[in-house]
Amino acid sequence: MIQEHFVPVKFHIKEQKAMFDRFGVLWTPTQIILDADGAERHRIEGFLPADDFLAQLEFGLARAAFENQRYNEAGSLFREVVEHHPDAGVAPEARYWSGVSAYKASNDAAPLKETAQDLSRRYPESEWTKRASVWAA
Amino acid sequence: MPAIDWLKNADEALRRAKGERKPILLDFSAAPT
Repeated sequence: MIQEHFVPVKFHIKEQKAMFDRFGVLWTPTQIILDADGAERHRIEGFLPADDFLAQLEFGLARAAFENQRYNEAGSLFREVVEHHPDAGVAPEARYWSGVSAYKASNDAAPLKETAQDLSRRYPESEWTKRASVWAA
Repeated sequence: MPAIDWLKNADEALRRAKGERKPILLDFSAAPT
């Protein structure tokens, strides 16, 4: 997954401390996803189990597409995070942004309402369900 | 799982990412190597 979707770079604190300073990294492990133009799009700090880690990597790909305003692609990628990793910590956030991406791509508010309902059903305790609750009415 | 060919140079990665239009994954570690 990593080799296929990313240009991977590894820095060790003892060998390349300057790179930690350059990217403002204060804790390990940290992973940063930059888009193809070098802009930071997602940051993962601290250890995660494998499923959560993979979900975060996929989420980062989706964020890179979203922040470059490729909303159809971003929506698909956010939905894949939820489908592939429904129990990962980032899944409710991915579901939230899949709704926003669908809205941005279509200018139709229906996906927002559907997202709020889906979040309420699948992730009732999530912070992202609260954030989407304004769309439910 | 295939081995990952990690680069060690951020600027080389930025050049490669621009050419391939791929995102970059920077991994910062303090684990024993």
